[in-house]
Amino acid sequence: MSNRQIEVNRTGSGAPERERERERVSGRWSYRPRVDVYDVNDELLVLADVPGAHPEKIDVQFDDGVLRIHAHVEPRQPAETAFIDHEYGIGDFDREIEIGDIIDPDKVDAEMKHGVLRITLPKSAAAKPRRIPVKQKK
Amino acid sequence: MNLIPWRRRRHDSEARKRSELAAPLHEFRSELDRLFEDFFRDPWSVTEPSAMSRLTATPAIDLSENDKTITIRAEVPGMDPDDIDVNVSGNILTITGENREEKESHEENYYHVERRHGSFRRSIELPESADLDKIEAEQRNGVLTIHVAKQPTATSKQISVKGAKGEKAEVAAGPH
Repeated sequence: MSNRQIEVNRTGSGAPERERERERVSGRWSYRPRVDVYDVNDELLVLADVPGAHPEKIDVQFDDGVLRIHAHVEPRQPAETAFIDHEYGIGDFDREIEIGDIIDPDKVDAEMKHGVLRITLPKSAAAKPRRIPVKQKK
Repeated sequence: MNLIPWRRRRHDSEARKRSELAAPLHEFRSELDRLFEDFFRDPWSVTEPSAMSRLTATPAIDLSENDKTITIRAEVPGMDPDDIDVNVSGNILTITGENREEKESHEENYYHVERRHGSFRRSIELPESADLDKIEAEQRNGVLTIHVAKQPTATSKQISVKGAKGEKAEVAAGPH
């Protein structure tokens, strides 16, 4: 018999999200944040879920066409905490996204809001959409 | 991850949408299977906005307690605190929310979508010891923390077990 005092509803309309994808990186667990990549006119927009990361503990680098995100996450509970239910792991987030040379590396910008890292990567002049005027033949 | 080939996958999302309406549970299962397959084949593989991301999500939580407080934590990245509701009905605590950000403006021009877009819901049955009038919730950096106070009378107490008189006599008589 379990000594649980709290029953957790696992039904709902879907099972709880499974353990996040993670890997062992130099002696610690590194989690892979979920990302969205959008093409918004003159820029690429990357959104990455990094819940629990403090904005000052996030490192974003763009190097040789690759966007690298590292977000440090502090433990949320004291080490001696008695967990009744512990459905997800907590640790740093790491992800690399290959972007290529279509953006201008000097203009990459990042900000955090509600645990989501928002990175804007303005396209280089050559990659911007251009309207080609159609000339009428006289 | 290469940006360009992702675009090819876009056309079959309509078919997926239709079959999802017809058989949501089946769709959910096969979606899960597909995600697993994709992940084990290539963890960096491409995903499209999937049926899963449109269903009501069930956020993972962790639950801990000490003598005075029960603490519930859920990761809700991207949620505005105003869009999260924490309700108690009877002794059931329910967290619901809807993620509104970015949805309308960018959906048509995605390269890659993994994040949750839509609503989530999770219910937790609180123990009798919970003081339902003393529940506090706060959200910080995408983590929702709910503290539920325990009633002071509910701290553990020793309960002595009395045996019936007849049993006692029997035990006492045993060794002789």
